[in-house]
Amino acid sequence: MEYFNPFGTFMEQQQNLYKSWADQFKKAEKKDDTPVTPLDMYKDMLNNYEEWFSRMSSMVPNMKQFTELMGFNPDWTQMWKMYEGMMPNWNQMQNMMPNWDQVQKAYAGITPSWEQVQKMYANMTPNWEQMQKMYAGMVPNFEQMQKMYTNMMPSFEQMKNFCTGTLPTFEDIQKNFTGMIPKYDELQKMYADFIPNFNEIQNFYKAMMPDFSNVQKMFSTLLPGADAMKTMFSNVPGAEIYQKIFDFWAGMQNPEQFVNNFSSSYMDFMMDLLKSALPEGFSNFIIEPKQLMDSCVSFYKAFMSPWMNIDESLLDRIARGDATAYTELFTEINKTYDDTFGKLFTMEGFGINREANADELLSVNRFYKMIFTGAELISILRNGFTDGMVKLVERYKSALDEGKDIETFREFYDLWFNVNEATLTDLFNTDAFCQAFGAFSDAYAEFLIARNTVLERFLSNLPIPTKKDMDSLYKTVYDLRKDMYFVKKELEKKQ
Amino acid sequence: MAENKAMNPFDMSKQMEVAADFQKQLLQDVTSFYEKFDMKKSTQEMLDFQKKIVDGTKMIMNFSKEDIAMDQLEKDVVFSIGKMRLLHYKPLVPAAQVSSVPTLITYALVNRQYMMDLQPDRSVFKTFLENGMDLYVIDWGYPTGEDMYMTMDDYINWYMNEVVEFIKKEAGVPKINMLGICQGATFTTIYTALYPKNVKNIITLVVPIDFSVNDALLFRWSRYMNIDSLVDAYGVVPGDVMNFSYLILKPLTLTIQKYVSMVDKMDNPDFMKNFLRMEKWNFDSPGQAGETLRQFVKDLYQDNKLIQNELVIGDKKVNLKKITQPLLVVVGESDHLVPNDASEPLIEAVASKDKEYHCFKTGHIGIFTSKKSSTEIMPTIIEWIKSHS
Repeated sequence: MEYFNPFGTFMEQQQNLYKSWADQFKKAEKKDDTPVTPLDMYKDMLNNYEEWFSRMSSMVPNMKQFTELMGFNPDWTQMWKMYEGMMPNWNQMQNMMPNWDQVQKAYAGITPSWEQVQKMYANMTPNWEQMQKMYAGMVPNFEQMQKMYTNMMPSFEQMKNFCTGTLPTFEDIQKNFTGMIPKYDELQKMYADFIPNFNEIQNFYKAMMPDFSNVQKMFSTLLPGADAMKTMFSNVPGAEIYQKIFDFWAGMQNPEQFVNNFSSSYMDFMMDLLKSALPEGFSNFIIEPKQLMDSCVSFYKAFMSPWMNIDESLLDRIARGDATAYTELFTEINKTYDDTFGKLFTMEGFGINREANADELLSVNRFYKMIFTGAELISILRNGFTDGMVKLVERYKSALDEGKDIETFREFYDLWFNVNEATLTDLFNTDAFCQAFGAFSDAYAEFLIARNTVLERFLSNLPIPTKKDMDSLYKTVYDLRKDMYFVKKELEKKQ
Repeated sequence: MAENKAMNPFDMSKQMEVAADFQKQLLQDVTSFYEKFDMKKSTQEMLDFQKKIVDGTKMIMNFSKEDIAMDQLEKDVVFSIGKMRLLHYKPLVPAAQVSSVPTLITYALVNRQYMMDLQPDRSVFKTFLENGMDLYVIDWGYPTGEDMYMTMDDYINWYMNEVVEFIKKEAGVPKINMLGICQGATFTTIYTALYPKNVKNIITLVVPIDFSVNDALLFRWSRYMNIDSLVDAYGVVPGDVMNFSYLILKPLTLTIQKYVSMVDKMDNPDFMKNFLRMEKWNFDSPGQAGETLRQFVKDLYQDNKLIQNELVIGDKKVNLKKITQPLLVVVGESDHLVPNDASEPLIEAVASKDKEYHCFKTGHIGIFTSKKSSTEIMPTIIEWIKSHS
């Protein structure tokens, strides 16, 4: 029997993606069956730079046709505006340029020394602030860009058709790029010498970035719009899964923190992964219970948090099934509520709506009190029923032991009734129940009063009499009726 | 069941382990439990039960309103104030045999007085009339908003006193017999103490006088109740609120067992007619005028002022020693609403020399509706009244 393996599916998807890349570029295939990795492709790109370049450039449409195509797009104007908005920042960027000479020298030296590299970055450093400003200025345009690309989407289909039908010839491409990069041979040489082998690249970057977190920090400072960028890319179908994985493993820079994060966010990670990897219909079987559990935990945290300092031994007794512990818990919650939130709901108000606000808060307070006292009462009742059940089992067992078999359901019902009625009557006679019952009755009545006050205030602007109005009228009627009765009687006596 | 280990209540895996053990054990217990039953006999029992319900329902569907009519004795409304009406029952014996001393029956405010005339073959009023009593009964009516300010002072010093004055005038007598039931008996006792010159004999049935008793739930619960908030919330406290309190005095008997037992006799039309009458009466509960209920609970249930001669009604202090009339106190031995200990102290509290105390083996309602009522209790009362009128 074949079992579902979410990791297997995920890895398969990933490999398929790499293979599709390889197919697309038609060069990165290996002769053996080992998976093609990004490193393989990168190596291949270095070794066959010219061919790669031509292939990539072949994907770029003829600029004239491209412009014409874009001309059909209604968002072209918007794009222009965006770039126009970015323009003021070009001046800032230009301020960085004086250092380009040094950069060029560093690269022209073919094998730059660490000193040169350090010097290059040191000279660039004063300009970070300017760059930061520049990117900050660009940020507002990300939203426009996002909107623009969204609106452009229908044109991609046209573009695809266009590209398929009018792929420029190799000569055209060569001509275009030859014009763009006149010193192609020099460039090729530079890169070939500059990056003689991959190990050196690794060493180079390692030396440049001794502390990855600093780099991360640097870029996060540089790119205040990174979130906008992330949002933009998150809209790309399939990109989410890689982003999640990257986010998760990015914490490796700090092993201790990583372990802590891993343990705390592992479930989230797995859920996100499953959500992406599983078919939608099936994933709901896993996602929805998890969401339900999250809601449940959040609710209990919110509900219980004010009372989390309740004696742990009490919670332990609840876990052990101690019937009286629930009652004590609700008594404690009720008391703690009075000492905490209760004060908030009963405090004096202020401002022109002081009285109305105070009444509304009071009604909420009384609602809570009713719930708490009700819970306390129910917990006592629950104890009674539990006690009744224990007695019932004992009576049932002793009846069997005495050979008095209870053979039918009715006989068992009679036993159940007699035991429970007696148990409840005993319970109702206890001071604890009397007190809880009285407290609940009082809380219920107090809630009705507070609720009515709030409702009547709402209704007071309508052309209808409220209970308060009617009570006043009733009092007048009552007094008049009584007075009239005795006045009339007095008159009859005198007649 | 597995040993109940100490565990963190939020440790779900531990909780699941315990739950799994519990379920396993429960399954075994349930299996073992059912093995003890005679399933054939039980199934037959259930089928019989169902059949009785079906047959009984068919029968009830064909009952006419007349079949379950109550309060059928002829009477006149001879006096009224507000919603209160004074009913004068037509005699069932020749005029010459009717007692010259009228008897006024005062019922509680919480239920309707027709409980004493529920069914034709077992009617207390009918028995009284057949024995020559000149019967007046107070119908308190159904209070509404305009009655929420009615006080005990109004009910006793105004309504009751006006009623008594009316009867005296109409019958042409200086004194009448007063018979009170439950709360109505408390009112009757108070009235007698306040207006002794108007009362010839006093009879109390299931009367609460000493509220310090501990063996009755209603008395205990009332001490913990904040009656102020209840009255302030409702004005006129709904009858259902009161009824709920009465139902949970015997929680399973009055909500489940009563109906299970009913099914056993559901094929008996006479039983079902009486059952339906009683059911209607049980839940025909007038609301309670808030101010009266407030004083009754505070001064009587909570402060027990009556038996201590500290109760004040209006501007009049109630002194039970002012009662010198012949007194008959009747109680039900198994009364769960008014225990005997709440009634018996009346005997010692009054100054009457001629006083009797009778305790019958029945409950609060059984005094009026049981078979014993017609065979023992009412004959005792009638005989006592006759001998004192």
